[in-house]
Amino acid sequence: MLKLPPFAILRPRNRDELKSAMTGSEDEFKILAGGTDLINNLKKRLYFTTSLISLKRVEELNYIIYDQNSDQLKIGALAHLTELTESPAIMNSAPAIAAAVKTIAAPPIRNRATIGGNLCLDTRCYYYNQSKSWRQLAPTCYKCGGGVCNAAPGAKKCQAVFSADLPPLLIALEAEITITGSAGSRTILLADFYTGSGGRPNILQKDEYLSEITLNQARKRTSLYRKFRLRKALDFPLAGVALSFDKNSSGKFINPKVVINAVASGPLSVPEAAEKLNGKEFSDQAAIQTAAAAAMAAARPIANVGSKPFYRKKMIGLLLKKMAAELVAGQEA
Amino acid sequence: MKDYKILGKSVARIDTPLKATGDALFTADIKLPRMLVGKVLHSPHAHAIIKNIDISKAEKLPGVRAVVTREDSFDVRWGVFKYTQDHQLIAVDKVRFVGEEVAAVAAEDEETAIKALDLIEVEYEILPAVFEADEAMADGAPLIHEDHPNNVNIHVNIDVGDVEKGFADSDYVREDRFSSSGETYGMLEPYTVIADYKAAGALEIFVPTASPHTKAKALSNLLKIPLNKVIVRRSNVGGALGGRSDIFPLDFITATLSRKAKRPVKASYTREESMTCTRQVHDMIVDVKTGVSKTGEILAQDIKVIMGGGGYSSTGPIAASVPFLVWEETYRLPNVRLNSYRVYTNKPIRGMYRCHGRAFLGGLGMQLDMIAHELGIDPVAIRLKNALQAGEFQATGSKIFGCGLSEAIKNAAEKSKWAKKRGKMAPGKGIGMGANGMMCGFPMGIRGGSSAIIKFNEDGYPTILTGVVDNGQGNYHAMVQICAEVLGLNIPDIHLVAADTEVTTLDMGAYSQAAVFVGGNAVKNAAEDARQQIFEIAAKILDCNADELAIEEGKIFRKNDKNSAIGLHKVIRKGLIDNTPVIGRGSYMPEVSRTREWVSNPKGQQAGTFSFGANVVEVDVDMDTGEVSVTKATGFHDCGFPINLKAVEGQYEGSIASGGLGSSLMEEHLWKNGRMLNPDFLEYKMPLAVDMPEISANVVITDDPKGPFGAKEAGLFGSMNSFQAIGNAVFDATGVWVKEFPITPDKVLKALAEKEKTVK
Repeated sequence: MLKLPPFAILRPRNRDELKSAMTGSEDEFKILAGGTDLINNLKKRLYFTTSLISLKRVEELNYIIYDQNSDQLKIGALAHLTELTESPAIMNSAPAIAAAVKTIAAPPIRNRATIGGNLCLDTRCYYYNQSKSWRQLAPTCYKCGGGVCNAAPGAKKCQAVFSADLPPLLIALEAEITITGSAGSRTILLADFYTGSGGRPNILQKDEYLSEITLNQARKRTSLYRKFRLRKALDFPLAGVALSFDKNSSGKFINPKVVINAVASGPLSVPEAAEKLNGKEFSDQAAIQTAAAAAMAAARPIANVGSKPFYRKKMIGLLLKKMAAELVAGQEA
Repeated sequence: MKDYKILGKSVARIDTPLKATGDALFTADIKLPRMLVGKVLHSPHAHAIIKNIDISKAEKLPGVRAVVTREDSFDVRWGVFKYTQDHQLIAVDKVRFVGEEVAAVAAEDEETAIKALDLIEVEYEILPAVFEADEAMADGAPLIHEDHPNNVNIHVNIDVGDVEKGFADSDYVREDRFSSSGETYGMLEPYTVIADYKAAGALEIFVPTASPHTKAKALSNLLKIPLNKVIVRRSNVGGALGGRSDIFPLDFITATLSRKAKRPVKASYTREESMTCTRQVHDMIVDVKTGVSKTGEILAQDIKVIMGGGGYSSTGPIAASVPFLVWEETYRLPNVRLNSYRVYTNKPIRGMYRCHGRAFLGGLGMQLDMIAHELGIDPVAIRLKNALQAGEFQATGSKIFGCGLSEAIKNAAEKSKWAKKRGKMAPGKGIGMGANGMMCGFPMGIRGGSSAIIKFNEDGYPTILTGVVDNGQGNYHAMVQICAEVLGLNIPDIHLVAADTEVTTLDMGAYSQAAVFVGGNAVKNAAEDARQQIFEIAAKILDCNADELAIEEGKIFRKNDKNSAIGLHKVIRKGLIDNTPVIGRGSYMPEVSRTREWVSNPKGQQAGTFSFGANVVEVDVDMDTGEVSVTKATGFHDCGFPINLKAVEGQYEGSIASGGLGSSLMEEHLWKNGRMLNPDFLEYKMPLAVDMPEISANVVITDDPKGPFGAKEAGLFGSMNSFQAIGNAVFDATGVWVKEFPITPDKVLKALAEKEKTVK
């Protein structure tokens, strides 16, 4: 087994203590939520982290609240993925979230992993997610602070792939997130959280953490997320598509949004694809075909995770078509 | 099925409670007093000359107790055969793959050992490397071992009958190429060795191994210690699958560290090291030309195989032969030629696997279906037409004894409702069959047999001593069952000491599917010997002849008078006082050719007996995406006689997962410049519980004339023929053949697109 590097661990008991832990720390620290990705990455010595700040005792960050009157769904960053699948608040407002969560990893991992962790998941690459000794066989890559991309020689920046499953769906649902830092809180669109850069996938600063996810009109939209992976569980997506549109649209895509996943360094909104669907029937094959082509055109997979880039690109179009077919069959999530 | 008291039932195994509760100890769980931690420095280069190694800084690090390098190599080379001794277990002049062991340290703790590795300075001169077997064989490729032109490590040539005439006589001839990437074994237990080199000159070693006696012999040769002083203690094995039989550098290195540090040393490989520095599975290219009669009778076959062997020989001659042997154990091949080349490459070392040869057995089994399709013959019928029968001889001369192959094929077809389904299912759904034979007990010279001892304590309870190994398949329980059946005892009455070279006698281990067949015969013979001694002593007490006696429930009695019963303990005690202690002794050597040799003379009886099986799988193919799911597997296994029915069923289930659908659909190594890109269980795709199909495991009982109570090998047929069954089912579902394993969705989609083009 790979050995964890030595590190200190801080266990704040509330948000105030969390704030002082973050501002008071002079070490390179990482926030530890479920740890399902972070601990593996530490074993591989991907980070120069000397201390961890555990959120485990900050229970006030773990909640799921749906207010029927305002149609607002608020999820604390520390809500565990399993809790999202069991929550009546989610099932009554945006059940597609629960369905998407069930495509993530496997139940034991979902019991530990949190929604905040999923949204902050680091990007992945065959040449990056390896042991320290393995990585030392090749030149230091962009993501490790070097000047090359080992997966795509010649690339000008890191090409690591975005692999979290919830962001595309939540972006399609126009989710907002609250970022809390030493200077206070700010609320932004989740779509604006991501940089599209493999090296640094989101905009969180050192003294900031993601505290809340909000859907302001949770029941307004129908949404779906589908992913391609080689096994029926456990795996990160090799391609993913989220689709949303206004509810009660009598078999038509009204104000659709299409967000594709795992084919670039961030989740990608594809307005060109959404445009092709707008106002069209679920069964409009020509519209779906052109939307699928637009979504595929936006995908930029490279050979840095499983399967083949050509196939992952193709799957973006196929997943969109499959979702449309499911809608026609009335099986939407 | 014969009705025995203990055998042939589904019973919980003696090792089940320990494993279910977590009380079973694996090597990594064992702690010896004053034990150090060992860590290995691996080559970062695929092919390089080692110019210099400087360990001075590492040696000075506080807490470091020993550092070993090529200076400690003993100048010995390991090879399974005399003519394949090409591997120095710590690199000396050059390294031949990324991950080869170059140096190692033993330190007080793991952190210190890791730090010490960073302080070792190795100067390399990088050489051009070659990674693919066909490229390595080409003229002008860099030579990996200078004395092997074209990097050919092993060439097995078999030529039986008149192949050219066979083709001339054929009504239909076709040629196909099949290929497969390398695979990983995927044992859950990372490889771990504990070595304790004792002051008295004995070496005690704990290791997960399928063959402790073979390991002891190799270490005795390499370290120049007499064999009786090499004590290999086998701990529980967390999966072997064919990959725990050989000798690995870590065995040698840990022993050498212990010798130098004069303390016990434990070295555990990480998952990445386990996947790259023990053994991997060969990649393979198979070209096969087959000629048949109008009715589908195989008249000639010409097969060329190129296997990527990695940096060293390992079990090379066996690996280069086994796929063909399995094929010739299955079908009548009057005229057949094999040219099998195992080629050195700058990749990690490749060994034997439970489903060794997916491109070979998958390919030839798929080609049989292609031929059947062209000739309008049902795939079941073409298998039955060519299937070997009891009493027949295989191409290279082995006689078939018990044989339920045809029955297995028919039963699997019937139970799966083949006739109603094949070619008649909805688009995207398909059904396919695979079948194979399997050798039990290779010719392995003195190591091919097994012997057992059964001793008794004065309370009448026996202990079996046997070299048989259980890697998880239930061999230990089978030995206890056999002994209990012969001695009229119950399973809890018997104690087993197995696979410990200090006390057990020579045995090949769980190798060549021989444990129950060879080891079981030895235990049966030992139990019968003990029983005869018991009867002779009891005859004196009961005043009758030994042959008038029977034994049941720990009591000996005259067959015609159950009231005459005396307790077994009384007989044992009388034996002790009369100076005739009961010690059962038994052995078994399979009747194999003593002149057969893998390369120089591949002719004659190649195994003691053969088991058989047929396997029908059903698949669901997404015609839009090319994704394949296996929905159902129905297997019939001629295992002779199931000693423990539940264990036989479990073997089939395991072989459908590992080897079976994993190898067929998802498992593959990915590489860049000799570095494995997916050396972990997240990115190397082995099937998960949710990927598994509905499984129907069944047996065909043939009571093998050679096996103990008619038993022989159980379990490999599912893994050895699922490739062809799944490949054939994919064709039935889609109308396309995918000839490269694994059959991933991108390949299915490409094949479907090609087909569409051709149709247009």
